[in-house]
Amino acid sequence: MAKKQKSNTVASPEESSNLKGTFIMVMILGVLMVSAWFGAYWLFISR
Amino acid sequence: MDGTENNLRLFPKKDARLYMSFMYVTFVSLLVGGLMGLLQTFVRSGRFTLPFNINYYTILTVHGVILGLVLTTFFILGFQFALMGKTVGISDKQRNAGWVSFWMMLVGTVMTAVTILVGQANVLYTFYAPLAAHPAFYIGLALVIIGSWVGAFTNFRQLYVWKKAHKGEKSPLLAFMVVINMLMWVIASLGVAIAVVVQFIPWSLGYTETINVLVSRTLFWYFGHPLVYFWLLPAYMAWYAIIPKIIGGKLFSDSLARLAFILLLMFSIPVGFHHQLTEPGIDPTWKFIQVVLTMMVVIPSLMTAFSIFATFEIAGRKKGFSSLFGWFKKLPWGDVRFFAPFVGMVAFIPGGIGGIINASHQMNALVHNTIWITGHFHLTVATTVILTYFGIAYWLVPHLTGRRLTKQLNKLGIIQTIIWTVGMTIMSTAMHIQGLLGGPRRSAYSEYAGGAQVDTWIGYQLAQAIGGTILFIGILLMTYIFIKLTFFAPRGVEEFPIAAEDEDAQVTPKILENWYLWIGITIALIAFAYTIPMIDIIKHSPPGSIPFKWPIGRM
Repeated sequence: MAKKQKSNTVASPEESSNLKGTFIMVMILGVLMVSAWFGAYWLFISR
Repeated sequence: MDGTENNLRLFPKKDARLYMSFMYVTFVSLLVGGLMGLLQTFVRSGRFTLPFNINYYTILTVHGVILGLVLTTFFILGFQFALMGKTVGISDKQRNAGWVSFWMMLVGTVMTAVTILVGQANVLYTFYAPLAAHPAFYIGLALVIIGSWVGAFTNFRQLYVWKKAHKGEKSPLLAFMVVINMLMWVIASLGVAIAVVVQFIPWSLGYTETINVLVSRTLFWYFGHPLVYFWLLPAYMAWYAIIPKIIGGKLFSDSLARLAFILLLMFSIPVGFHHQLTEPGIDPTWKFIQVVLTMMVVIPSLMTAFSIFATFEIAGRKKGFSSLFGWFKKLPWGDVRFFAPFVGMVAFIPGGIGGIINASHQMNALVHNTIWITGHFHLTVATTVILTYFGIAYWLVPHLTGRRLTKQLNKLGIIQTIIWTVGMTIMSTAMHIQGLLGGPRRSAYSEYAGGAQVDTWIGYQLAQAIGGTILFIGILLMTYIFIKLTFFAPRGVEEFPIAAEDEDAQVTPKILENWYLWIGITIALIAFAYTIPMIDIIKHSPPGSIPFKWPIGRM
């Protein structure tokens, strides 16, 4: 059975081009942008 | 070739001297401008009055002009000259032109600074008419701008000469980026140059009686918004092409980086109206069109965010980290050349989000002329941009002086970054909240004859004074580090870290270097966004205004 890869070993090309983390980070960024904008919009409407 | 050898080769002394000259002015400006900022926060705390009858608006103008215009422009020109020297080289003639640029800018700076300091130009860095300053203020500013144009055309020439010698090759990424930034700067600063030379100088000298206020403000903001991108693009240069090398990675995508810069060139300029959303005299339809164009800048900004995350993730995964965010831990947190710009990147998240809110047409009424705006640009220029500039200085200065960034100085740099982060978090957050509560920007301390709303502000103003004090400690520490790196650090070779492309990177499309196309689109967009409203503004202007030296313009 293949052993789970440990840290500090060189990754395969497929693994090194895995951008799942990047995808999640940019989604979080998008959520932050939209929620801050609607927060300000709510304040604008409520005044 | 990974370029390591070139990265380690020091500049010839005569080149390094030119680049360092810009750095000296940068760090003197930091100290002077920073001190003024500290005094401002003290005054606004309501517990301190300026000695020797110094006017609050004098120190406010010094702060804005010296940090917003002088520090940034000098750093940018010095850094960009170094980038050009490293990637495409510099000839004797070009170096001499570099010196002409430096001296013109310095003479202009000294003229402007002295005029402000003697109380003859309390007009803030936006120098809105009809507030009138002494003519020397405007002439000095014109010299700074014209001097920077000499630098810009030298950079254009540097790339042109390199291209001629390297037919068919794509230009080095950093040289391409420098040329984009300087193109944007020249196109944009034409607006402010026209305002200063055609409107302000004759008016302040008394050759013309009145000034068209709205035209002058429109020309200023035609320049004023690309100005912030002029500050930001050198930071982007470091994020795209320097940071990957520092973290042990490669360039994520040469094409993506070039495309982002082209989009920034196209969409930075035809957007000045979003600073004038409450301005009477501009057709709301054209304001709306420029708001839409403003939002286009979100695209290259998000491309940059994506590219940075991807650079980090790929570098981490190549080192063997397979968990979702394991790569994050592997970043070189102890290396100030990475850490300071990284904090700058994080600050750009709330900074950019705030920018979208500011530019959202009617919603601008929520924040217009409040200290929220001051909080916003202290996140963008005074955190994102300046921390990246500091991050660059940690390796650029020793590379130029033939010294080393020692472990101890690196540690001091980390401490400096933390101090800056703490100080700015306190100051900028307080500014944002106070702004939403209606607290005005620009004005000296006042109780506005009392009132429930005014009472809510003072606590935040005290917080700003605390944040400002912490930031000034950061400035003192940075000055110390700069002096050490310039004169006292041990001799050696500090790397000029330029990232290489991956061996299997895709070929960059040739169209990305089609200057005629991109400059053509840029000019067409500007013509589209400004021609009709400008004709409208000029045709329907009210009578012009005589100069006002009172209440704050000149003592």
